[in-house]
Amino acid sequence: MSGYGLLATFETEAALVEAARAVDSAGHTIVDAYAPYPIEGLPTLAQDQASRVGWAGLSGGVLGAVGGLTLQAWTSAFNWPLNIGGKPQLAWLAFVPVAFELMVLGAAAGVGLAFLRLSRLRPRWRTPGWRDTWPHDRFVLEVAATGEARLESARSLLRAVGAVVVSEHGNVRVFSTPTATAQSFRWLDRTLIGVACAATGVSFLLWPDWTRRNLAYAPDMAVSPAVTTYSSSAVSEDAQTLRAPVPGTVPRGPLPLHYEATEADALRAAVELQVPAGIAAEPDRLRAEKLFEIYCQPCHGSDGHGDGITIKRGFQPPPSLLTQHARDMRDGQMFHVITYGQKLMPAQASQIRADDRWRLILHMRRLQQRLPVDPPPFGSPPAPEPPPP
Amino acid sequence: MTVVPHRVGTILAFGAIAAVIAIAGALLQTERLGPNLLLAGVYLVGLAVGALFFTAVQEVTGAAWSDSLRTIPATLPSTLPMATVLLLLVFLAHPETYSWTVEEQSGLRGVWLSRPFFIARSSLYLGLWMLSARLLTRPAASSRVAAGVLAVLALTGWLAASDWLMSLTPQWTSTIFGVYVFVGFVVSAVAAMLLTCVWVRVRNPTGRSVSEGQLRDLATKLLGFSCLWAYLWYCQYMLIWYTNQPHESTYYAVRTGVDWRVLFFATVVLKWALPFVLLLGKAGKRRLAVLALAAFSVLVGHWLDLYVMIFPVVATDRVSPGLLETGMALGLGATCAWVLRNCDRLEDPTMTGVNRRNSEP
Ligand code: HEC
Repeated sequence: MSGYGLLATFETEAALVEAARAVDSAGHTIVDAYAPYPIEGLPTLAQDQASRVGWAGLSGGVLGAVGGLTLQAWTSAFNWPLNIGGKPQLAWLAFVPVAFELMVLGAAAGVGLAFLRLSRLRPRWRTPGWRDTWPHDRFVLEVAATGEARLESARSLLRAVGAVVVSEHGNVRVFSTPTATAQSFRWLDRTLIGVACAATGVSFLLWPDWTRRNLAYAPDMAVSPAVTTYSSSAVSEDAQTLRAPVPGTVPRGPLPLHYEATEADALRAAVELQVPAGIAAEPDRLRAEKLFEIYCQPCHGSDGHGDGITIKRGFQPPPSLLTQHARDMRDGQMFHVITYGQKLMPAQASQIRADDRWRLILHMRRLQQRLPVDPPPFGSPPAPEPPPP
Repeated sequence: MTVVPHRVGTILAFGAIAAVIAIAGALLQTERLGPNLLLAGVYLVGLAVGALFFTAVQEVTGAAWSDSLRTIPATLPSTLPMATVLLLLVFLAHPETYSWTVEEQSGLRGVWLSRPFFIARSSLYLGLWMLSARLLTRPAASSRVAAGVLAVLALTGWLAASDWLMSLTPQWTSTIFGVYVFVGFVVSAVAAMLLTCVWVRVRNPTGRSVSEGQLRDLATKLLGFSCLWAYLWYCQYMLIWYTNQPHESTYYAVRTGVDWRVLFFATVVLKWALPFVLLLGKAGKRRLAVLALAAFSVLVGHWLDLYVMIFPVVATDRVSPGLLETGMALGLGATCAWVLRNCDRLEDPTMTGVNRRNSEP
């Protein structure tokens, strides 16, 4: 290749600006200009490129801000809605700081990457040799020109506008020998790499256990004096950190139930228990629906026909909740069934609060009202004759 | 030719019209006079203090880019005597603007917010600012003096904002308020400088006095300070909204209520959002019309900011500005025009002690 660019030096700032204008208007591409200090008039010549940096910054910023807002909106209002300090779930005002930081990050990354891309700088160990050898106290213009003819016209143009030295890239590169500075940097590179390797090796020899945290700088945040839940305790008798409540402790909220998981107690519950007045007054249908969907639907099906997903996968079908039997069952007994389970139906007390269990009963009653009666399951004893009115 | 004989006449005529409107408004609504005088006084103080801050920062950092336009921030503090008169009128003739003059506060707050102490402090602030203005425009001003001025400005600006504006609602406190108001002052002063520079450039497009680069740099400053102001606005609003303590959030409950909501958020649009959009790109910073629009928007937004700070507390009868407010605002414009009327003669190095560092052009 007969050179892909020219380098021209000038004695003064004015000459450089002048030459840049001339070269620009003659239609040659200016790759870059180098000067010992920033020059006012020059940047406007490379306007297209500069404005593209701006746009990259803007897009990066917008991307970061929108990304930050979406991330927060999605995590805190849709994916895992949490009530924080009674604020609305989509608390835009509280999302601003994170979105702002991400905007800055995006803008900075956009500008940085665009700058590197546009000025054809990619990370590398050493800059091309000619940048080292070229005088740092001159004004240099780098012009791109491919093909003999273009190269020649650019060269004569540069000479005409007063360039002191004009040379081709390729030539300079061939003759360039690393200067002392470049040499010492090379030496620095090697030293740094050596130190890094040595440090890694030594640390590997001294602390070879990869599964444990070895050395930590200022570990105050990571290591807290409080014992964690499942660690053994030096203080308690059974060496456990997690303590059982004192026997006889009554939790706040619903009162304890005095029933066993027996059929007799189910009948006793049928007589003794009924839907608490507060819940009957405010059943919270949406919550009940949601609970039913989570805890009951897998077996009983969405409408209570006993056709949930587990049945389709082979679980023994439960009787429909819409049979006359289920309709006649007293609220108290249903509460017993849900709380303590019944044959194949597992107890739910451990996962559903008592008030929610009552809500579920009201939900089932609503289903029963809305949907027609289902026949009794196959093989069950015939329903007793309804008593004559 | 730089002196236009008609200029003085135009400004005086404009001022006279403003005075007529204001007097008519004052006769119609005497009870709004106190808050209006306060607003005008604080607005002028803001321009002056902001300009002092700008000059001091240039001096401390040894900035050379602004040398040729330092006349403007050097001139702006001459609004201070006028501001002093307005504020004294409030404190002496309309003390009822401050509710604590009527119902005494208890404890330390009562000592701090007593009339003699209040007036003494206010005079101290104004005196210190006038002194700073003198010190900074002396040809022998040094960066040491400027650094001292900066410290004085930070302290007095913060205290004055708390005294004159925050004590309108004595029970309400916000530690960031002083900084917020102070930065608002700086924004308004930079906007006034930019507007003046645009005017100078329009009058004398080829002059070296205000270069394209200086306009761009000043616009960047405006953009930056306006963003800082918006940041502080957000900090104060967000923290109070988040903690939601009754004694703090009442301030915003009133201002974001149905009555004040539009004006309250218009402040943010005028003082930050619009200038931000206008000045963000490079193209905007090169067009004089865009620069003028951005600066004007900030100046109006700053006025509205003070209006929304003052009026919900003291003049609850009507939300939107009326005759008196219009007259006073026009009067403010006339005052600034009067103060800055000679600023297009920037080439004249005898005007100020500027250009002393770079003696060659
Ligand atoms: C693991 C599957 C399964 C889940 C989950 C389940 N059930 Fe059941 N349920 C059954 C089975 C099986 C029966 C029949 C028990 C029997 O044979 O007596 C039953 C019976 C019942 C009965 C008695 C119906 C009758 O006519 O005797 C009620 C009421 C009931 N379930 C309510 C619920 C409620 C409410 C939930 C949700 C909290 C729930 N079940 C969750 C399997 C389940």
